[in-house]
Amino acid sequence: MLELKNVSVEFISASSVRAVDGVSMVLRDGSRTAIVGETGSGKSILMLSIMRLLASNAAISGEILLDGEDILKADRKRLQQIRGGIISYVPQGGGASMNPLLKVGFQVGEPLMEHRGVSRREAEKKSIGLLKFFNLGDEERLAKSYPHTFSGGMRQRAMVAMGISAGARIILADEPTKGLDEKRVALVTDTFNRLKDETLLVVTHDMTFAQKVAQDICVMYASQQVEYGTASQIIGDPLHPYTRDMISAMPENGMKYDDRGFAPSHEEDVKGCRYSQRCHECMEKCSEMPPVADVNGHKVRCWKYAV
Amino acid sequence: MLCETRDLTKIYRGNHGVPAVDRACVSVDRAETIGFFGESGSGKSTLGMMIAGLTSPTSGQILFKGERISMRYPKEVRRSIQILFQHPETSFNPQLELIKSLTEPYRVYGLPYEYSEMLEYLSGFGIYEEHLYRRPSQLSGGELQRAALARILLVRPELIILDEPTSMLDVITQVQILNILKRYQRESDAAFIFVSHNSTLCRSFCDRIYSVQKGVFTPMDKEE
Amino acid sequence: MNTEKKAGRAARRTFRMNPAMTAGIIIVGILALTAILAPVIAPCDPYQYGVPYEKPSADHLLGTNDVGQDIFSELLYGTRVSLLIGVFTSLVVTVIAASTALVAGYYRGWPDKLITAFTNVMMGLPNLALTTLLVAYLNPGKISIIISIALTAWTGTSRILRSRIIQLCEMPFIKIEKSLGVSDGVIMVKHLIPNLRDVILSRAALSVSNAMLTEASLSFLGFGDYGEKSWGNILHYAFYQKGVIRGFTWWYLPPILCIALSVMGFMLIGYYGAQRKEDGTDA
Repeated sequence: MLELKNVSVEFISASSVRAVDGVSMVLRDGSRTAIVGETGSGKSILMLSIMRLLASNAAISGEILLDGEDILKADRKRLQQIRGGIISYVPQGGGASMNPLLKVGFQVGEPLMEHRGVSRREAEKKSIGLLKFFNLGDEERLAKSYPHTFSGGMRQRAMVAMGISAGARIILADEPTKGLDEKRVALVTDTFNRLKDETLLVVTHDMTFAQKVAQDICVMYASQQVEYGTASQIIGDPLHPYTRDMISAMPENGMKYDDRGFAPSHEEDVKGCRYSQRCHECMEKCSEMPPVADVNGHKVRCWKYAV
Repeated sequence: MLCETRDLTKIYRGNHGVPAVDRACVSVDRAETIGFFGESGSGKSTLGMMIAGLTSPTSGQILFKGERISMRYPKEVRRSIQILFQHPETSFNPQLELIKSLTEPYRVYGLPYEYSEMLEYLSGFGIYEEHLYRRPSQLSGGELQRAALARILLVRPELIILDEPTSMLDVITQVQILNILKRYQRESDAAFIFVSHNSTLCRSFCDRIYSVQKGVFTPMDKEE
Repeated sequence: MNTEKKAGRAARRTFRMNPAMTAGIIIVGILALTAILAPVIAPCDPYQYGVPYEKPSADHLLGTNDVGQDIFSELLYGTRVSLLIGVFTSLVVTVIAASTALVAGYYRGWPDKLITAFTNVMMGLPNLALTTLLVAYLNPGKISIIISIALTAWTGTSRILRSRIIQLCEMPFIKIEKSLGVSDGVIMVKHLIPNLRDVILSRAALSVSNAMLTEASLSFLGFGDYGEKSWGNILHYAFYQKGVIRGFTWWYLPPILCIALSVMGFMLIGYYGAQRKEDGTDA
């Protein structure tokens, strides 16, 4: 189980910027969660902070508990074990993250050699099995080929295979469908849906994809978590005005959106609710920061539901 | 017709003579939006790049306002055809503060430049003074794409090639950008070529759609 | 106004200096100071004749040469010629390399084919031999040395820059500049060169060290500028006036160390200069 308790990330430079502001989440074993939000809402940074892969000027506060153990307090050696061994990370633009000089089969098997001390030949054999598990098609040839000979979607899926090869229980995927066409999004969705026991956390801006892979959805806006609940709650009965706007702006729903301006930039000090300027249900109260309300286990940061 | 192509073909070297774009005949009229819909690698972006004059065709013709144009467009044609790309983070020179990139069109075309007027213009795109003095790496994808759009609309183009301009963005920013484009089209009768792999989006944004498969462009029924 | 300033400051790059680079900068800084202040810090006039073959003493820190000139002062003055030739050659090299690379990489087509073919031919020629021939053919002197070294040394930098320019031209931002109608010259100067700055600077530092080595070799072979002191020149006399055979280490070792140290200084800057990292936040 991975539990995030009030995690904040601040970048300390000439001007300090708060990129993630008090996010709490619970990822039960085998659960699937999607973080949805626009670019710049801090969702990728939140994911990188779980992997402790942020630049040195980032200060992370709060707690990230992996089965009760705080990752933020882990030393270098322990982090090495966690990364790839327990939690694995599939970065954005997964295709470009593969080493162009090594064969796909070797790269997929590499974490096995690293974490389980398996021999190279054994690892490559196992990697073919993994590629077969995800039904990538023509797996033997794929394993013997170099990454550039395959499309971005294919490499993205091979990266997921690489992620679980050493038996990582938790998979973090950053924008796995960004820029892919519909057919390839469907294939990536299929790849994720083949994972049964692993815990999955994906960051995406694509609500349709989130709905297809995740049971839980966390919506982020301007570095804050504005809504967190099950996929059916978020999609079927969205509470926060931002989530509602987002769902009605989907092409499938006719792209209805009453334009009320743009997201605040980090340095702009918005008092109160960060969505208030764009919200069509804005009230007087909204000039103060709304608390997180709980509606039947469905968490939402909005004054409408605060009691 | 504002712009049309006649048997436009592109064969990339080292591709065993397989055309990326195969004898494409497409046309777009003023105030019209046409869509190129197809998978990635189908050649839809290549045709867009050829019309924008950024890739030279292997054979075939491009006609703009009835006249044939060839590589190295004259300045007026160059100004009339603009392109918006998929990746906002690489649409700006990474070394320059945003304001330096945004003021470039003023300089190239000698447009009257007034700082306060530019700020007002940019505010329509959600770009404010605090964004102007940052580098592209310090801005979000949505902010950059809106700035890129603001920059090309400055020169009042008559034809804009939209190469998957919203596929990296969230749905709300997508609607905002498409709304700005539609408003611009109403004001100026500009034509759009919308390149996309999202069929729902293509149907709702375009007047006519060409489906693209392996470099072949065929007109498609919108309701299909 | 405050936010604007803050953003501006944050936008400025924060360079992470590494120790190797710092060491390189210190070495080069000392060299530059020595070159500028040579007349002030040199204990004697290096052109003044005196008692030949003196051993190191308080008067002559590194002894005297075959005509009685103070070797320590010669060394200090030698910094001037070595550095001057190194820096100027590197300038010429960078200009030739950058312009050929820009024409080839930006326009492609036949100019590219022509330049690439020419570069390949130049790379195939034995550099030192060609440079020596050129210097011998032209009149020995600083300018002919600079020209001769530069004419053979630009090829590597030009190749690297060309391939980087081709990559950059594929980036959307260059395409957008083109379709906005920005002129080729502006695209090159304002958009391509700044994005190549790290490569250009590090290659330039490497060319300085290369030019200093070549200059020393030329002077050692007797093709140097006779009128002025340089490290290669000192070595030349140490060798031909029997300083090496007689074991006058104080004569031939210091110029070798000076050459090695300064070449190392520029190399450290060149190799590690490219590793400066931009420190930005991304979303």
